[in-house]
Amino acid sequence: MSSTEAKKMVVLKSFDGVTFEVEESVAVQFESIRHMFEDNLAGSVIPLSNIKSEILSKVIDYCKRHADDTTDEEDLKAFDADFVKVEHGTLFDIIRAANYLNIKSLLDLTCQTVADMIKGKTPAEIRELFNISDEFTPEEEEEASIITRFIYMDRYADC
Amino acid sequence: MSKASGSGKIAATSDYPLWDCVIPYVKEPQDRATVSLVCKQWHEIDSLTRKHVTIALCYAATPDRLSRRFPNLESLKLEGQPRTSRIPSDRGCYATPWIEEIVKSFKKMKALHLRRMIVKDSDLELIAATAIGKGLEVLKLDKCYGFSTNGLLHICRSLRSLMTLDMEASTIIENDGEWLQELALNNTVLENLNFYMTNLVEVKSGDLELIAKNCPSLVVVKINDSDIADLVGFFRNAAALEEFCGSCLGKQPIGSEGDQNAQLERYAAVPFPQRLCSLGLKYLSGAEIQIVFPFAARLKKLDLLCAMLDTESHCLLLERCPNLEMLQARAVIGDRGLEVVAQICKKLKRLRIAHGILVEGVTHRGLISLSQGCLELEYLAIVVTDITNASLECVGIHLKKLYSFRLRLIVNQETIANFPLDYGVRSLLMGCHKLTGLTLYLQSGGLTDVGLSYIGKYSPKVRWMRLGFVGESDNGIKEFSKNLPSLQKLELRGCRFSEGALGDAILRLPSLRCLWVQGYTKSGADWDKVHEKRPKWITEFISATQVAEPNENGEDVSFENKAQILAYYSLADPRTDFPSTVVPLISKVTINE
Repeated sequence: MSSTEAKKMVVLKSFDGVTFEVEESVAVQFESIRHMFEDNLAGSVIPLSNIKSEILSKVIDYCKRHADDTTDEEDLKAFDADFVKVEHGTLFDIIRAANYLNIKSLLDLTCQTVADMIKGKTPAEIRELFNISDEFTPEEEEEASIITRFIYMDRYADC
Repeated sequence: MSKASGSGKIAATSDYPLWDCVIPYVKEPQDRATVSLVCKQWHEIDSLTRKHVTIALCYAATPDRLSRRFPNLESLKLEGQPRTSRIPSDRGCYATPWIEEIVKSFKKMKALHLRRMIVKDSDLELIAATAIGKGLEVLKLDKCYGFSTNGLLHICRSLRSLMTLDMEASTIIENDGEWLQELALNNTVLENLNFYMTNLVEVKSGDLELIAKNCPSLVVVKINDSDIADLVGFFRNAAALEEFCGSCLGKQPIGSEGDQNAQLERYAAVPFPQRLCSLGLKYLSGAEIQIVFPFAARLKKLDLLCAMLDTESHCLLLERCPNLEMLQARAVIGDRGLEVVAQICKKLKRLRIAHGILVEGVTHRGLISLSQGCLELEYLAIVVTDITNASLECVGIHLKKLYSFRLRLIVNQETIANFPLDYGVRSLLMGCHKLTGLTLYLQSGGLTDVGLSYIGKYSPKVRWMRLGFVGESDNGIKEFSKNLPSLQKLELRGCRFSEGALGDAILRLPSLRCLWVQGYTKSGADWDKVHEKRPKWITEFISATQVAEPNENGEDVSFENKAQILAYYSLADPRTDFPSTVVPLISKVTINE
């Protein structure tokens, strides 16, 4: 990803007013705002009014590491594994930011992490884990459960 | 789907984009089912993002309900009759209403798999004529019937994105071989062509050769009876081919030894592609196995179900196959053949030993060798002529990776010394923790009520079971059904349970969604009780019929098909397309989805 030209810089401003100066080679990973600095708006500040500085700083860290092609794959894996070891709230905020900025690899990493937490759990365990309230009435739940368990199966191995 | 992409703001309080992002990453079927039960929002996200669904009995849902619940499906598997030969062939399970809904509502459908259903030429024509057909990449008509090569012609002419065309074991009316030519002329992306175990014989080797030339990604080809010596041009062009099944050897009668040598030379000249690692040749005999020897060491999959090998030839061939991961053979492989497998095939994961005409037979001795030698086995289906408790215990001790165990006992002698098998079955179940599927077709006296209670107690993960000739009384099924949290599908044959005991068992099995019973004692039980407690449950009583089925010599033999019960969960309205032999009993309680 390293640029052959002189390093162009992009300035990003978080929801709480903190500005971050980022190399364009890093910022190009932000698919959804790419057009803003590619349309020759270099120098001007790009406001990201829904991402907190704490989260934006993490996202930039991630993109810096992934833009650096000198990092070997093992190190990158270790970095990724470490990167997602954060509280649920932070992880969710990173997912929202990655979704907003449309950073595919970061979205893959963080969403897979949460998907792995869901694996093998019961609906009740998942509700507790993520503090989700269950709006099903008992009748609705029984009904949904019957339909899901008995009618629509994703796969039925070797039958 | 996501409202957050682009320049829109993310509302700080809404979790919608969050879970909308995450849920598509939940891939395991069981986890997807769980996701849909967490809350209404998750239920909705799951509905909109589910890519694949299997409906294990096509009458369990209706096409329009399916499209409302999962509008973005890309892949659908529909299964019809639970067992082909045992259920009246006019029982129904028509594909038509499903195909009509699919072409109308599922705009993203890429893969369609129909199993044991009645498919008509008009269904295939409809697929071919619509946009869905243009985008369809996978079409599997597996053990289906009702269509002809005319329907296939439409498919082959119009479905140019088709990568898999699989019709294995379907009964197809053959008018001509033009469909194959159309496929050869119109398709450049085919990866998998399968008409193995069908009756299609009008196959020109030139068409197969053209397919190989035009489709560089062709990896799997499973055909019917074409003399392999005629396929030299095909093999020469199929550079990517990894799996080949079905072509036959030795079709021409051999007179003298000179003829035999000439034939062998023809076969030896067949240029098997370099990547070929899966093979199944029809009528392969001992005299011809040497043509396989040069590449036997790289074979991962070997299908000998249609070979004509004796025990000795099995041994000679298998000695040269150290990399086998899957093997299918007939019982003629014998205990000696299994001993070779146990010694040589250390990577074997799946093994199926089917019933053969010449029952030299496989017994507990072979089962013990396998258990001790093939520790990677995950799937073991075996027909034996004798069995002991010790051999079953041996499976439990050694085969820790086993998830499917299928045992069928066919006895020649009157009694088996080691009956009952209660203890062995218990040891097996206690040892094989991963088991999700179990088949035990025994003989009268093979398993007592106590043995049946062991199955109930020690099969916590087992999702489907086929049991034949087990148990002694209603008490057996009662104890059996007390502790089976995961059991979804149960098939019972030749057992002595009463109608009432079966109804009670349904109520005790929390995950059961399909029960098939052949042979039961009529007790005039009150099935309304079952239906009251299990809304959406449909029960069909199928009366005894005379059925003709081919015997070992291919002659139709008439036998009595015992009365059956087929019971299942269903969202659909009562079906009407059943023959007079079927009496449906439908729950009086209905609930809307």
